[in-house]
Amino acid sequence: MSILNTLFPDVMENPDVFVESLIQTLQMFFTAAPFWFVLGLFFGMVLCVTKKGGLLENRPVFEFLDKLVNLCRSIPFVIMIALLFPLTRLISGTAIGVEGAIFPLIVGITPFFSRQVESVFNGLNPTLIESAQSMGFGPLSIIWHVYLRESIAGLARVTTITCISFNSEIAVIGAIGAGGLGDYANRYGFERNQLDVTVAAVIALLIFITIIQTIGTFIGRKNEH
Amino acid sequence: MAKPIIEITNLNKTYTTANGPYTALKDVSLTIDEGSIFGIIGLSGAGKSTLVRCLNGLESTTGGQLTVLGKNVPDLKPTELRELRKSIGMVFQQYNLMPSRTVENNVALPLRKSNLNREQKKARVTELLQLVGLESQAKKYPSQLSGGQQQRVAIARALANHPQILLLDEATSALDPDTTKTILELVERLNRQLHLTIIVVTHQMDVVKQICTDVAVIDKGTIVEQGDAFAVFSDPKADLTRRFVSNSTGLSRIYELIAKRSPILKTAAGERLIHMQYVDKTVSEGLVSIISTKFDLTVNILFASLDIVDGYPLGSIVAKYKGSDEQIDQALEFLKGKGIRTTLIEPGDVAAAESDADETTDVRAAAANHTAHEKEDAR
Repeated sequence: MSILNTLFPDVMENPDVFVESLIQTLQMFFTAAPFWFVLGLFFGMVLCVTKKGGLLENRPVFEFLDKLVNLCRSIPFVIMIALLFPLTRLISGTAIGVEGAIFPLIVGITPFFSRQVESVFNGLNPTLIESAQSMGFGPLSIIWHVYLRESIAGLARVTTITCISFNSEIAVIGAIGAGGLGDYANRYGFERNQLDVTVAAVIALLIFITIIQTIGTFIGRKNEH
Repeated sequence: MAKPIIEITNLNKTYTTANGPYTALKDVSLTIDEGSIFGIIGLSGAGKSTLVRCLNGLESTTGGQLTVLGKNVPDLKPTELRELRKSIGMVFQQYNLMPSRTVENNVALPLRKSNLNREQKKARVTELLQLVGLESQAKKYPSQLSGGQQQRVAIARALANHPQILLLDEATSALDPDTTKTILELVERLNRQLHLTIIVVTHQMDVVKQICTDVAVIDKGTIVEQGDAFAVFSDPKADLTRRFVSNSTGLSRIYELIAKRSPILKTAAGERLIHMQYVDKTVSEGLVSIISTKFDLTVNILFASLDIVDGYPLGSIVAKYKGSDEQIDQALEFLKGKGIRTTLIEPGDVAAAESDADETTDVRAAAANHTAHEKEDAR
């Protein structure tokens, strides 16, 4: 304890704030992640199968979704938050705090993840799809048993990448009113010039990211043959 | 007797490309009998793969009739087509096994929607792996197997739902000659054991020679020749078939020598250069020694090749005959009666062969490349 007191005097002066911030960050992460994961898989899959020559080729759907993703990805996240403000209030009842952060976080990261997922599916050898068709598989079976099943390693890789980008978004939205480690580092570390607070936030995030990366790599390895 | 399992009438396939329409298949008509091993041979881009992919609806058609197992494929609804595909196994050049599944799970994949319960499926997978001789590799992943083993797994997988037809799309083209041979032996055994109709798409003449009972030669989307494999190869009519035959037997080399006016092929007075070919499935006598004693001729063999097509010997001999004109004529008449076709190679033919060689150098070279490694194997 005394080492912590020497190394992180400002953090230890008020450890509850640090713990609370950490919890807020984790809350934002784990509440939003299942949403963007499922939505991203869905949109990525739709982009892949509706493209020209795809399994369920559908020009209008592909064009619409493709443009929408491009549009969303071209808006910087800070501006996106501001843009979504009224909609966020409508959906979450509030636009501030952890609760108000979830919706913009999902909207912010889903297009990025969708593109990553799309690239994984597009990278799958098209002859595998063909051989599944020759076995009498329908489109849904192919999506489930070939696209998803054969892409686990690739999906683990892009999910890890997205999780890491997602952490940056959480820090950004935290700093503009949602709380969390970003807000903590900003308010205490930056504004009060307490460098040890910033360092503590960085270390906490580093540990978190390392855990995610390790899990991602492990799942990827297990499914790479 | 043999009843047709696949009937194709005036089948057309045209692709729309950026450079306008491209005709991949033009008025293709074929009948494939139940229980046959039917070879479809052609050079790259001839449309042979397109044709075979039309059979199970992987490729749509743009005209004509295509009846497979009594159903007109172009008319089928997606669900009906899926049902039909369960009766047609398909094996690809690149094996197309699912890389993240073990061998047994790959083989079990087509059984997913069958009525079998867990134990029955397991038993079926074991049975299939035994059939292709890979029961010991069940737990391995495709990447841990050799190309030949992967292709065996692919064959086992294609047979999972007891299909009546097996399509092999260049299935041996990525394999070395020894492995090709073992795969072809397996295919032949499956044909006998399971009374399976097998369609073999290939550019390898040796594949057709080794296993096919019937053959169709396809060139630029059109069937240029078809029929009984022995009949087609003993008496090839289309240019492309001739090239396949002569490249595969090494006969092309003797024609090259003729074209180059090689000294060994020079004929003196009283000598004639004769090309003898077996056109019957029954030739077995020692005909060269018979004619040399019977007609008092000197027969000097310059080149000879013997192939086995569909289980029958198919021979080709180029020899220099020395004797009187009368005796040579008699000998040729005698050979004709024994199922041997004789062709006199005249000095004039040399020039013809030469100009022919120039004209078709590209195609010949392509065909030669295709067959080059097979020939090495055959030796």
